[in-house]
Amino acid sequence: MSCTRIDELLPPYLDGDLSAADRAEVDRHLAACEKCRRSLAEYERLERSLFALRRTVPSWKTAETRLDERLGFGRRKAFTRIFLSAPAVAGLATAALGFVLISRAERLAAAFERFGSLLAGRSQIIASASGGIVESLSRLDILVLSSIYALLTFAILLANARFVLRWGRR
Amino acid sequence: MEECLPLYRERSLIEMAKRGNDRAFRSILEEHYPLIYSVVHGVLQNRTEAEDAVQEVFIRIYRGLPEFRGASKLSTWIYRIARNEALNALGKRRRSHISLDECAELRSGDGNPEAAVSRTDESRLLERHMARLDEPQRIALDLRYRGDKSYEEIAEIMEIPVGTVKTHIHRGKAELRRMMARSGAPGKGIGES
Repeated sequence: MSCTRIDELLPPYLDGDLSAADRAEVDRHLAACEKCRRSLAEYERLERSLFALRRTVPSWKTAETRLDERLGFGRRKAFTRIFLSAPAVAGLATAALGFVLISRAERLAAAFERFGSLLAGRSQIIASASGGIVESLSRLDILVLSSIYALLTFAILLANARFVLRWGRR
Repeated sequence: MEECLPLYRERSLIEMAKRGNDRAFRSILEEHYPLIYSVVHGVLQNRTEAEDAVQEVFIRIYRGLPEFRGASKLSTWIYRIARNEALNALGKRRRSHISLDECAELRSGDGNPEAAVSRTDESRLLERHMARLDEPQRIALDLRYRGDKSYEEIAEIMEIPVGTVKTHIHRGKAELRRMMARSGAPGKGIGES
């Protein structure tokens, strides 16, 4: 076989795709021809380079992120992540609690007072304890409730800011 | 080599995706992403354009999946979409008068001519040579090496006999070796520094 013919057979030879007769022929030729042995080595190196192409495929995550942006899934995900996150839920709960405390402070104090009076009729010990609570509650005015609410809201705000900053880096 | 997806799982994913299950749709795309990228890259031979075309293919699959009746294999259907989309993108490129050579030059240097000259990345050199192969050879090689597909899978995807796939790949490799030798990097330039 000529070197040209051997050169054509080297790719299937490396793939193990030749008949036994052709393979034996190529082997005999390679044993005697240095030029074709060099060709074989070049094919082997080419094969390695071709396999390395696998690493040039961009990651699925990159492609998926672009798809999310395109379909709007990203925006939906971000919305869910922010508004259904634990800090966000805690913030909303605090706001609701603050609203109740402030808007109903006087009624709450009156309710506690009535509850204390009710217990006072039952037991001296409970009455003294509840009397203390009632006394404390009656001292709570709008200003104190507002301060507690403001502190809680501030803490939640900090937690939210930290969460959003961390999310933004993703 | 393994099949892309076992048939029963593939069918179940298709049905779920058709019913609007986002996870199933993503699983299908993720599973076929190397195939899609290999095909569009095989046609376009440009990474940026290939990445854009991949997105178009995703959208076309998203829109077309409800109409997929399973007459062909899912991978074959996706291959056709990917190839058509890549050919559309190639048509647009040609209309904007950017030649494949210019494209390869830009790619090899990321738009910087000096970088193109000084670049020693062997895989880039290989890609430049691959851009000069015939389209079926390029796609078959891309599917084989970038997409990690077996000859049988490539034959199924491209709807051609296994023997033809082998011919494309072997001739493509022979041509690549000759081009690498002519570019003064026989062997050394390919896999060794």
